[in-house]
Amino acid sequence: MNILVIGGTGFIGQRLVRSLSERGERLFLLVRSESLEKAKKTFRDLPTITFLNGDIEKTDLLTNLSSAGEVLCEIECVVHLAAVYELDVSFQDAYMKNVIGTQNVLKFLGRLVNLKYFHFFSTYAANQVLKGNILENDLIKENSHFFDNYAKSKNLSEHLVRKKVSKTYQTIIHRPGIIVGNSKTGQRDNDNGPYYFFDFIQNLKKLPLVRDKLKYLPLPVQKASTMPVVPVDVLVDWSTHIILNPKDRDLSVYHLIPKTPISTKEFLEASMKCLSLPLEIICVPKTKIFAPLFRLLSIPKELVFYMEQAATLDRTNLNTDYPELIEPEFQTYLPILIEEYCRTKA
Amino acid sequence: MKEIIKLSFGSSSDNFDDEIEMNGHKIHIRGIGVDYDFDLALSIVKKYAKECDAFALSGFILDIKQQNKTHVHRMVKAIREAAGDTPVLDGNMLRKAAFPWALKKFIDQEKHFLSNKTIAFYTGLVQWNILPFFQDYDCKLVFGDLFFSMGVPVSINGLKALDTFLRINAPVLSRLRLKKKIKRDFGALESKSITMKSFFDADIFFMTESQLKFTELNDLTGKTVIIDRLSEEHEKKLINAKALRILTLFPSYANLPQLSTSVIEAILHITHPRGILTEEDVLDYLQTFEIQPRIQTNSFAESNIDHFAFIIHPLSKNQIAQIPGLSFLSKSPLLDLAENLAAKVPGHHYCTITGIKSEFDGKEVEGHLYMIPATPKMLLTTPVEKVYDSLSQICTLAHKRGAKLIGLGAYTKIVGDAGVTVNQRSPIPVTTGNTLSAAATLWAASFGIEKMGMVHKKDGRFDGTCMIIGATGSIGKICAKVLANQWKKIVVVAPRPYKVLELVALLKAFAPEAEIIGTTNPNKYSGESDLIVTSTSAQGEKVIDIDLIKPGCVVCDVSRPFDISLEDAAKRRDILIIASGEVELPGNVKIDKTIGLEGETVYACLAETALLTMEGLLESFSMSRELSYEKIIQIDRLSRKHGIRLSSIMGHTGEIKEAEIDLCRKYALENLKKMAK
Repeated sequence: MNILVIGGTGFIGQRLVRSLSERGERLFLLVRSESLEKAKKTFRDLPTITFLNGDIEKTDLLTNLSSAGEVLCEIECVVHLAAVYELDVSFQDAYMKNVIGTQNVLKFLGRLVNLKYFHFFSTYAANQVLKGNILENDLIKENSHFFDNYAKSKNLSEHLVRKKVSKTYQTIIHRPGIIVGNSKTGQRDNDNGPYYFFDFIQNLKKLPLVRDKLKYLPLPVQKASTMPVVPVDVLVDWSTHIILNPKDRDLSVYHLIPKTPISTKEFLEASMKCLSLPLEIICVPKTKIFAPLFRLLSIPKELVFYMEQAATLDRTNLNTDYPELIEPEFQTYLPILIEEYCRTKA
Repeated sequence: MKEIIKLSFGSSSDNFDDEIEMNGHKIHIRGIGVDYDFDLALSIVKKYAKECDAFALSGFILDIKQQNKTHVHRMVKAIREAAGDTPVLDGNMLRKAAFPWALKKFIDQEKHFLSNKTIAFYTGLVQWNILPFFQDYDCKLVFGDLFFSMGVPVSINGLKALDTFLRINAPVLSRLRLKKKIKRDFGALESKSITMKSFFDADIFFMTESQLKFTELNDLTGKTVIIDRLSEEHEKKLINAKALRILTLFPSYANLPQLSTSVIEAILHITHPRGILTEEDVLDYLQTFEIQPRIQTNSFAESNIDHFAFIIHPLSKNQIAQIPGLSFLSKSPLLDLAENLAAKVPGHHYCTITGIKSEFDGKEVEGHLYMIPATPKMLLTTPVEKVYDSLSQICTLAHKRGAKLIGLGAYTKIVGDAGVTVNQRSPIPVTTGNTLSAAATLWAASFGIEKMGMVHKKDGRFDGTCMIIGATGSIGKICAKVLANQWKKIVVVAPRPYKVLELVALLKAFAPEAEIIGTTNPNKYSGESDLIVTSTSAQGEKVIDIDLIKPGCVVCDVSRPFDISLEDAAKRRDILIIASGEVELPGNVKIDKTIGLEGETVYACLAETALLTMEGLLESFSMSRELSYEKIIQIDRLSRKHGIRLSSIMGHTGEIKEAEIDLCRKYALENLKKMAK
């Protein structure tokens, strides 16, 4: 299959490009002119890749149209995972890149006469709610409350994608959970999300009172709160499988999360154990006292959402369409993640 | 492909992107809502100014015009500057032509739409393109600008006051920073603020869809909303506020809901051969794509019953003494004074008629009777303007109570120009009820003929003579037309011979099977007539010699005052003199106070008002002193359809009972026998 990957140089993108390329697919990569050299270097071992010069922030996407004209007819599948991903991104940045960028991509799809599949990478956080069972087909309203601009921008862009669901090509929305490092090597690109918890535990360890005296740690964690953690290599495997084995449907949405996500309490306890601070967490209601405490321990406010949210994510679509997908046990790869974390921090 | 970016200052939930083909051009239109983030709007314009052909703005404060000055809002100014050579369209040129045009089209269908109404604008600030339109109509304007823009809960009454407000505040307003959080809650204010009473009391609320986004609505129960365009989401918002009617001036294209005025203007602009859009082009567009305003009436459980109103008044000063608590006046010399004083009391709600239900479709209507406590004498002697005023006031009261149509009873439809002025000043259509009155009189005549049994039908026609006195007048002519199809011989009488000749010619053509005779002297044919209808303006002067009338004749005296005097009527007990026919309404009708008729019988003119409401024919059906034949036929058909029937026939002194008819017939037969001898 001839696949155009948009956002192929990012954290997931790089790995997905490799995964698809290893399976013999013919790949086109949309790369901004300023990143072209770097991209060519990254993928120098993959000779089947064709680089197209373009920018999703342009209304015409392809900056150098003349050379790409013929190529456009060949593309059968587009994978769009270009997005700015930082929990503290400004609304303007998130909007320009994630929302308008997606709008530009959608417009561009109209020019691909042989397009059969469009894969859009959203996030489980596109439904950023605290309670309830969230189905894969659910998408909360655009004007709902969001805890961060990233989630809001992904919600807006998923709405755009859904509004444009076409009869001429199939739309597949991938909604990854919380992405962590490689389950085999622990390798990662940034310290977002759960890695903040590792920082938090490390900071706690520095307090002699906590380290030496405490057995229990009261935290404002909801008992029902879960961490839908998925290692990047697992995610890439799953997405590759979905891209290569699409189901015949106008729109498919998948929560790419573990079958039974670990609870936030368990996640914290297991992480503390690995980081040699074996405390038991006591779930307490959120009170004002935690705000200054968290500031003191430099916990970013985005983490509070992880502790508070008690919604469950359904993955019936994924189970039904792809029962063959496998995943490693959280307990088996957590030590690897933490080991790599400690190594890089050191 | 051309590219248009529609930049909405409001919620990003309206984002879209679509391709359309117009005027042979392929156009990509994308909607970007910036969630009230002006910096984001500006960065989008800067980034895409060179990549798109035009920007269409929505939800920004557009130009504020005040006398000869135009204040451009600083945000719009900044956007225009950032866009450089790329045109920024705001839809104003299109709205300026399209909105008044659409509104005018609607008013052509519903003439009372603006009459005597108060129209409230949540903000009049940017409505300069439609405000002058309202000056041509008899309506008041009130503005919520002080609250909408500045949070000060005081309404601005009238255009002049708005202009003063703008003169002082336009420079500030054009710098106002809009934020989502300044959503104005008119709903919370409604019960608290007396300084905005005139605003909340308005009949019609004017708003644009973008303003609606910034507004929490007040209770719109029974109110009408005029809005530029309407998305599903906002329609729900209006329905939740209980808006009874919504008039959308610029309905969305079903398949292209995103085509707002600014986007259409942008399309016209970029596809324009010369590249500059003028007002002429906008006119061309409006003429090519016939844009129709759309009205929708929302039904709420409690308002399934439609309401009408009717105005009555005491027919004599003695009726004033019947008002509870005033009975002591009945024989008092104070009665004349009371008559004078009562006439100065404003009209008020008198009673309610419930349970009227159509036999055709079960449609239920309810009537509110308003009393103007003036006797015929007072009505005819009070300066006509004052009577008009008090009648118009009642129309306004009735409108507030939810009445959709109002009827004029007894002398209220005789005063002045017979309803024309009242109709012009009323917020709801007015009818005199004369058409059904005339029809009911004809029903009564035919009922009388049947009961008397002196003349019989042959080949579908009464085998006898029918005379119409005053046949060239409005009612007379219609009666002649109706009766010419029912009688073998018709005699038409009028004082002017040329008019008689003209009418005879008309009737001959209209009913070729009838024998038509014209005369100026009724006495010539009164001896052979079986039915005499007299409708003249003789003002009580004798028009016919009562002694010459054939025994057993039915005389229908439609004139007021009567053509047949009480003395004359008393002389001839062998002829049946009918003054009118009164009717009964369908359903289980209940009237909670007496209206001077027995049981549930109502005046035919009241029944017309109820009937028109049942039929949904909310118009000034009968107006002035003119009647039309077509309307008589129509009202006759509608009466049968919904189940309005003749319930009693009225003589000069009240209802004529069957026993009286029997007696009359007995005398007639005796006299005929005598004459034969």
